[in-house]
Amino acid sequence: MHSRSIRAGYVLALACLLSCMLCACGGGGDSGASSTGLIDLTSVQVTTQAGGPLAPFGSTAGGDEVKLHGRGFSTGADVLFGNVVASVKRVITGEITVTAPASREGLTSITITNPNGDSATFPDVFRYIAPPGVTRLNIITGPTAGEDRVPIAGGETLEIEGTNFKNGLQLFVNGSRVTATFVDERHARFRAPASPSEASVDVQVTNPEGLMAVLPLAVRYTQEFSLAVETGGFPERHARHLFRRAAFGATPARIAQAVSDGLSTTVGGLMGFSNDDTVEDAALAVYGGNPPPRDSLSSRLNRRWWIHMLIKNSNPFQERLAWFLHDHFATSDAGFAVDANWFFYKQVQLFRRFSLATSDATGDGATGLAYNWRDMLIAVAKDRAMLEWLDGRVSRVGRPNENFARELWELFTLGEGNGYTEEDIQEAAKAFTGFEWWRDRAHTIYADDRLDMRYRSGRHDASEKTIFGVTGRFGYDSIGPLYWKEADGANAADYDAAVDTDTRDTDGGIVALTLRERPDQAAMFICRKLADFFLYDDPHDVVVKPLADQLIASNWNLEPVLRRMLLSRAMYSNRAIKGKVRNHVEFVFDFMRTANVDLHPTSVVINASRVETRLQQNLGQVPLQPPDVNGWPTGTAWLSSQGMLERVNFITYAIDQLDDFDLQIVPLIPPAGQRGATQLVDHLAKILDVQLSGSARAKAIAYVTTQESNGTTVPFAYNPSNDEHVKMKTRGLLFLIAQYHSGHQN
Amino acid sequence: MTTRNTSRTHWTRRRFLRNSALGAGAAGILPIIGMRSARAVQGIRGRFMVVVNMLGGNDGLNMVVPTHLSPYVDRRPSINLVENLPSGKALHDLSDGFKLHYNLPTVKSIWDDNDLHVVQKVSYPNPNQSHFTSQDIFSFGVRDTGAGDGRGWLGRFADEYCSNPSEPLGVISVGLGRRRDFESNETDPAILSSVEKFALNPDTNYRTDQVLRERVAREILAGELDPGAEPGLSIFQANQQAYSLIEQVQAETEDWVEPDPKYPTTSLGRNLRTVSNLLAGQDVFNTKVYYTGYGGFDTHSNQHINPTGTGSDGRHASLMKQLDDALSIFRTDLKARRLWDSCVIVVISEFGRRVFENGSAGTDHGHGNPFLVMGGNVKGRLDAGGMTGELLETHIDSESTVPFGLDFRDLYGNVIQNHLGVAPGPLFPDAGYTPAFNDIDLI
Repeated sequence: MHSRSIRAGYVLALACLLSCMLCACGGGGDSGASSTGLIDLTSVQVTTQAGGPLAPFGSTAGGDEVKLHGRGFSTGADVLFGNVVASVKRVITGEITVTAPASREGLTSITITNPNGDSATFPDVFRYIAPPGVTRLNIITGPTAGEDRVPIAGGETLEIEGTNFKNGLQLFVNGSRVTATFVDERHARFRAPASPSEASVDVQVTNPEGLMAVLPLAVRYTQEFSLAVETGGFPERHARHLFRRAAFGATPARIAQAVSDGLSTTVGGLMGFSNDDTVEDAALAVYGGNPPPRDSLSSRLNRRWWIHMLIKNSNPFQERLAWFLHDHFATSDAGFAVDANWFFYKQVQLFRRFSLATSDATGDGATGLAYNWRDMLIAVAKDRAMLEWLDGRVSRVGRPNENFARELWELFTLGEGNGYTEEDIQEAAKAFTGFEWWRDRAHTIYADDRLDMRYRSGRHDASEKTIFGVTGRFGYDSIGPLYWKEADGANAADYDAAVDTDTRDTDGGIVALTLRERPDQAAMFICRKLADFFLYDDPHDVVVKPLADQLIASNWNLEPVLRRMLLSRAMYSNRAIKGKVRNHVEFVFDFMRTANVDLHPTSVVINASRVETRLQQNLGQVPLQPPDVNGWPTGTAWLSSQGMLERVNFITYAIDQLDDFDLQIVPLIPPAGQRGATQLVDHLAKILDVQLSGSARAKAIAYVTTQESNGTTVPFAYNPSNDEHVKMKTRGLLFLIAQYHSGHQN
Repeated sequence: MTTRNTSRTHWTRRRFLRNSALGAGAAGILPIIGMRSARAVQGIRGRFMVVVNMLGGNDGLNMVVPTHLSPYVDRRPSINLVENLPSGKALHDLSDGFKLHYNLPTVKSIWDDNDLHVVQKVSYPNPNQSHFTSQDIFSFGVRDTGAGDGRGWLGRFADEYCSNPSEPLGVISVGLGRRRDFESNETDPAILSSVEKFALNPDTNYRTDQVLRERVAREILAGELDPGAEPGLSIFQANQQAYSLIEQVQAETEDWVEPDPKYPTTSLGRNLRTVSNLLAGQDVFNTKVYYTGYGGFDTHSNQHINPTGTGSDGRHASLMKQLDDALSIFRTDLKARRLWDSCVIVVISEFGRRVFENGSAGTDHGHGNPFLVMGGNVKGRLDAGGMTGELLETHIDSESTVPFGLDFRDLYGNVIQNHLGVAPGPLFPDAGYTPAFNDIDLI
């Protein structure tokens, strides 16, 4: 807290308390004042404070400039305020300028003593007033009540806390006056003004007499709740953030392109695309086969194919969403028989075509779902891997299995206990009946004895069920002829008809019923998960609700919701950028995409197989094997000692392998002439988007010009024109920078 | 079957709000080798506990079989182990009509040595059938997990008994990743999957420079004054912890030799092998609790003998075999090293399963559950935990599940108090829980 002088002083004439003889003072200027007469004080002028009924006054903290006007002052005069010595700045004829000392509240006397011993005391001519003090700002209302930041839209009730506030005080936020509510001498409240940015601003408290205090940077703004479109440009920092969240990182070239295109065009390009058939065909050809064998696909091959796509798909948002869906529906291939692994191939393709237009298709010929959440739920209920995983295929009339019914609501659509009862589960379980394993031994549909699922109406419970208080004949939802069209053979049409609808279910399916009867819960549930995934951990309802409303209004089409999030100010808030902890898959894939590691399928050095092996054996996060039905954990769950160690080891492994392709490290190295130690460090930190502290950066730079010798660090004559030097130190800097804590933040 | 914890981020937020640790964290980069506590070690030196968590809800009625109770046979006609034993297999006698699963001969042998204590009906008040909720209750050690202090019971254990000066390996998670049991304000838990993998790999092209790289990495960690806001701070501390532990663990365990025959390559086999390996450094690490386990217990279907007779006995039988095979090697190993008396193994699960079989030859979620407590220091017995007599017919209630009898915290508390020698009270701060560690007599 400090006080500033803001206004000119003024003069109050005082009645003389002593009679005095006027004398004609000679001389002038700063020195040489002399007096041959008695001392008289005619007025006290405080130049550093305002006027008003309490003047002349100064702060009990001292420091105010006070001019004493009168006569009889001599050079070298001493001045006391009460008993306290005031520092004399200047004595001229008729005026002494002093700095008021600190003292206690109340009226005080001023004593002037000339060097010759003449002295005069003037009682009660100066008033000390205690200034206000400010200690903290509290957020009283709004989504951040009790926390430390204010939404940029403003409007929340804020409270400034301090000491010695007076009724009638004024408050200024960032220099502008706001309406103040005096609460008590320690508290005052005001409404937060809106702010155009996330900058922090000062709050100033000014008491009625003019004494003030400032709390610097008291109000910290955040745009994390704003779904308005971000219009503040698209710097590299934002572009890298977007690609970390909407993809698995991006090469420096791609980032440069994005910055040049701007935010809107970049998001448009990420979200609107056609299936990358070239990369998909190439990946399938190497891992498993194109198409993969129905009866002998190993889970490892399936995983490798998908890992290749996750890293190399030219439409990375498609894979990122597929990953989100894989995590959400959390089906594990552990324990699947080899002839059922094909079901997992189909499930991955289902997730991959969520973002495709209905006129587009993935490599297995199944068509897109156009971001429609309802259609995804309907398709998942009949997905073969899901039917196996949650016991749909053993559920039949008379012996319904409740597993899928429970998890559909608890895990996939509504949240635990949120709008349904145990009785609802029992009833819905009856609707989810009818599927079974099947081998087409008579070759009526397929040309071979492949294992598949089929729906038998004899196994389906077509009775009336009462769910959410609604009675009807409910069953599986129909998604229309788009679904399950891969059957070949003469009876394909019959097969589709039997699968898609059981005509006895005259009141439709459970998914449609759920979204119709519990729309708010369903929309909030999925929007909260998406906001958590794309924006930041624990999103508040304030930002989730508008997205949920939009989802309902768009008839369960998630495309506008996703677009809005990726374009929003919330997305580019300080809370969002680098606000999450990467899981192992993100850490590995981001590094590989950013470093543009060539995942050539037939390379024996580094390819999807090697990545899969390292993920499984070392890092312990295996795609398609989430640890439990809650999917992958988040946050600091990934920061085990072993996990941190294995991430560092992965970087070493990747760097180790890069050299065999020799040229691959080149894109990471700055151009010739810009390879000095400092330039190298800054360049690599920028590519990896790692913010090194001053101390860390200095050590990294020192690393370049040092080497190891028998257990100690000794100088190294690093030559930026020597390619071997540059390569070695680039590898070392990748090791140091990628493991720095900022490198684990997503 | 399971529950998504919609408030899972409760603990992450608490961790993110932690503001005390900068000083402790930055100063806490630990001395690398030869670390010893400056003050007296808490508890009885050398003693440790191994928690084996059967994840998913173990079917206790088929593990400790009440052969004398007709509801057990009547209500699970195709999966009861009185009538449906595979040929050549037999249950193993315990006492009073209770018998062990046929795949548990080692456990039977431990029983014969008077080193096995079976406690029936272990659970917690107002049992919950959700995996996630139940597992959280076990992890946090409080019934109302939303109202706790955010720490896991092992987090409190580490804070209370392993933190000043730091004993970073005082409690270790083996092979299960980071469980909530370890959430703590002060301590970052040690999470290991195997000792061999707990080492930095070199850049084979530049081995000499690699030495410098690792040195610089440590210097960067040691010199970092302000890692900034979360999540950077937590990541930074995890990095520090990892580097510090790497060197300690490798140095102290390099004398370990795997016994012959070797540990099975199953999940639990590998995990107990890692425990065995870590025990080589016990004198320095002073580990008090190893927390491990394995999964697959959520046997809603195909629990029983495979009807097509392809040789598999069903999922539960193979899980029992995995337990027994791993325990067999572990016990022999520890006895050879004279560690069996210092060890107490507690086999737990988040709930048992219903008496009735379901329509898919499996069982659904239940409540009370038998826990196995084994070790040289354990008093051999079978009891119903807190109630006199054995599991009686009336204890299988109308909902057809075994009810709650003994609070798991009393069981843990008895072991912690009487075997480890430290006070269990601070570990379970739950206003609704009245400790009764002494109502059971395990050690």
